[in-house]
Amino acid sequence: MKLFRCHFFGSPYHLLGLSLQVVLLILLLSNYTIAQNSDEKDSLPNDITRLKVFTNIKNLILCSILLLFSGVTLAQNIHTIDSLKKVLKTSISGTKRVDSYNSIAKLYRESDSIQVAHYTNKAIQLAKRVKYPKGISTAYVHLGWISLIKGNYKTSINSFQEALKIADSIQFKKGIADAHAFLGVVFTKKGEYAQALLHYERANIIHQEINDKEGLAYGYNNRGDIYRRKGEYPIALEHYQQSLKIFKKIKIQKGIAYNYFDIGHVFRIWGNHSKAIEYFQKSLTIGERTKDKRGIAGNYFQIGLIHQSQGNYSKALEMLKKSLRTRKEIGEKEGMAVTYNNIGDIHRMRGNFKKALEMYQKSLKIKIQIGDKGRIAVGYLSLGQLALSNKEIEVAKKYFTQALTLRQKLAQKDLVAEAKIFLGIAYYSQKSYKKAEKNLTQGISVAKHTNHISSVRNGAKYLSKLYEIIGKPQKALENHVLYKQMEDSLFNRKNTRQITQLQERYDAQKREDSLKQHNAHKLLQAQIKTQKANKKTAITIFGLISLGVLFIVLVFFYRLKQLNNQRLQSANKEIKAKSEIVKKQRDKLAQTLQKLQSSQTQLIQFEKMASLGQLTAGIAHEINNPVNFISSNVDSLRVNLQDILKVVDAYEQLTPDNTTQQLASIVALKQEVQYQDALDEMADLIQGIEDGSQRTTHIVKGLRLFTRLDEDVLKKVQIHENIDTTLMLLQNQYKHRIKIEKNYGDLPLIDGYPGKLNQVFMNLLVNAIQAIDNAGTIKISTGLEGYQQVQITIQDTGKGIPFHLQQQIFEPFFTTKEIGEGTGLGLSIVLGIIEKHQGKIEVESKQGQGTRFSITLPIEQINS
Amino acid sequence: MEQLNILFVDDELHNLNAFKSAFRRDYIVHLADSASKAMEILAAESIQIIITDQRMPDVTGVEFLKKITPQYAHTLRMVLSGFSDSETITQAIKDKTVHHFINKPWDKQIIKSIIAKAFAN
Repeated sequence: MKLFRCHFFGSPYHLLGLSLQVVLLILLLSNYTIAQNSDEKDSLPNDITRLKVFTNIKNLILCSILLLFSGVTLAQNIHTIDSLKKVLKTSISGTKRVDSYNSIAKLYRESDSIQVAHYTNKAIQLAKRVKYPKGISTAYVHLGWISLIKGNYKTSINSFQEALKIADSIQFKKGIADAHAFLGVVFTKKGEYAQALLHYERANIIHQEINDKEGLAYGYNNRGDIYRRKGEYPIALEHYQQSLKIFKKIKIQKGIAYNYFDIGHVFRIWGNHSKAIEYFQKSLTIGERTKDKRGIAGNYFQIGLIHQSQGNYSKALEMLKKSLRTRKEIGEKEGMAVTYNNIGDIHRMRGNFKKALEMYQKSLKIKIQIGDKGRIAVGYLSLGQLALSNKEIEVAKKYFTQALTLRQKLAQKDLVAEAKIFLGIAYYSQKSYKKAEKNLTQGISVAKHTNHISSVRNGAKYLSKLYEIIGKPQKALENHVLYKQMEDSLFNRKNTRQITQLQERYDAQKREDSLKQHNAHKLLQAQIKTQKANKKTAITIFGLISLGVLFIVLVFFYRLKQLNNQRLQSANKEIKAKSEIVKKQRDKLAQTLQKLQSSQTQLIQFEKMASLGQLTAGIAHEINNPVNFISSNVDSLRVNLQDILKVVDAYEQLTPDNTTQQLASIVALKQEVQYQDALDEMADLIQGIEDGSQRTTHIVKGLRLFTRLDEDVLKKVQIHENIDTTLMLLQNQYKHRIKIEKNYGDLPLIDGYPGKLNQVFMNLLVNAIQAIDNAGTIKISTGLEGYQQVQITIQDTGKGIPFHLQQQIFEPFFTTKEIGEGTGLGLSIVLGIIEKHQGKIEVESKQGQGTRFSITLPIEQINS
Repeated sequence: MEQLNILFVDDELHNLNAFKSAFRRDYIVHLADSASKAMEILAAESIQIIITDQRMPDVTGVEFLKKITPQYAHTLRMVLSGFSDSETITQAIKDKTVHHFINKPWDKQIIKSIIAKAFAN
């Protein structure tokens, strides 16, 4: 009995354990009595009877434990496994031993496949020896399950079929149904939906017959998966909700979590991101409580996808990497493949094609290895998009077509639409407008039907552009409106805000939970301590029987209590005082924070002033030059005109009488006022005024761009114009010294904050100019980076940044200039601005050779 | 009084034209769009006054004046600039490489009065 005392001690089940012990004790006694009675009747040898009684009790204990733990959640898995292992050490019957092996295997299913294999093998061997087919069947189901997770579908099918065969031969109903259900899951994963539905149907009939609620619930969920994969989302949702209802009724947490997850998935596809996240977080909470690693990884993955589609790439990457880690840990191949693919997508979006390709290839390799056709199609689609970004359109078309064919074979309606739309985009970028129009139109129509919002959005975007090019403005407009509608439903502010809020709420809840757990743990420890203390006291009291001693003890306790009270009071005082101090510290911190914030604002302002200061020098010079010759020329024109008018006057005084004399004096006058010089230079003077005023206008226009530093409205920005303006304003700093090589690509207008982007170019160009000591070159190149981004690189032949400083240059207050010369905020503000534009900035530098800054900016700003 | 020879150096054509038309009545104006061109003129003509722009492609105005000062020490030397950006000019005035510093846009009368004062005796 000691074994069980240890086991139940201190656990919340310890009351139950106690009553169990009482029951066992009674049973033991009654059994023993029966045995003794039968001893008389059957006259069996005494020791055999005793052995029998003993075995009976062992079985009873085992049954009780199994009974007790069937209701305990998975959180108790380890606990349960431990006690099951202990049971195995005792001498129980062969069949019970097989059951125990299988039970342990099942408990390891979500976390440790090696253990599953180990225990199922033991179960199968023993079951064969003791001729216990039911045990073999169950073991094969577990084996099938781990192959399924690892993506070995063939092995998995073999195992489930073996389980089915054995269960069928002994008419083990639940075994038959479960095997069918699992076969359905494998066929679903293989994309053979008809086959899968057939198995589900059979499982369903038997589950109903034996009234297996859990089996029925899983059945609904499984069929929901098929409908979801086929793009019939409303039906899928109905199934999930039905399954959820049953799981809630029978209180199976794992099932509830899975359905929350699946429902979230459907909402994500429908673009209802806030609702989707809500479901994923519910599922995640349960997953974490029940330590279901597979479920946790799945939820992280889905949440990552939402962040990805909202353009929060770093958050998305964080989630996906979390998911990948867990999936690697439990060897979930299918999940790993999918996660690699999406991490690849993010790298692609960020313009890191090399890394993207690497991830896609890793993903595809696993997918081909496990033969998941549906996911292979996804892989082709991704590779196609990558090729498109790389402008390898023929390759892209090849991949899109492969994906399309595969999906058509799998009858995945909305996904066929998605592939068609991509194929259309490929044709569009090849200017094969007819084929593009056909594919896009078909794709959009199906995607609309299945409510696949992101596909409709993508398709409509390109179809609108296409119609604009081929001169069908009405249709272009229609599609643009459709595109905007879809975009709004995906990215509206409310949606984004809700997602952030939900994420925050979830994080807060999690913190609170862990705090609670910590407190509960402490409480438990305290209880154990008290219990130990109580025991000691009892022994003391038992030792001291005499009343007098008791009295002394009582007095002692009374005093102790008084002392305790005093201690408590002083402790209370201390706490009060301490909380006073904490409060003061908190107030002080708040003050400091406020001060810091205001200094930060001041510093940013200062940095702005510094860059303005840099400007003034340049501008003053650039403006004063033209102003100089304009004003001088105007003055000269006036003087010249006076001189010319003198000559004109002289001509007017010309009369028939004084012709000869007057003409002679006119010649003299012309000589005197340098008449010919005045006439000759008039054209030059006017030209100077014209050029000068044009130049000043230009500068003022440029200045206006710069005064927009604070403007917070998204505009369409012509990047080249901004760079040129900045260059013009900086002319005095580089003219005659540094060669500017422009290598401008064909850039579209991009969404951006023009003033802020100017600040970026100003900072980078000033840095480049200052890095070049004497003569040198600054190369400015621009170009498209894939479909959705532009890239600007500014490369100088200056002194370069030492390697050990390259990590720091974007940090605030980092400066290599003398104190007072720079704020050290320039590049950190640049980084801030680039991040505000959802872009990225990278630096490459070699000391003595120069520095290259590359900026990547999205053409369209989403999310704001 | 014999007319003074004045050499004006600036890389900006418009400034050269403007200078000539502004001062041709008072002085004999020679124009150079670079320091090297200016040296040629200095060698060929007898120049009394040199006015140069500070910011030029190859050398700055001060550098140019520093170079020619030993050979043409008797000249009146002035620097023109759009922005008083440097200590170099202040330094150049101190060591008498430059006699006067003038901001752009120039004031014709001030330039004339400086010259008049310098050549009063």
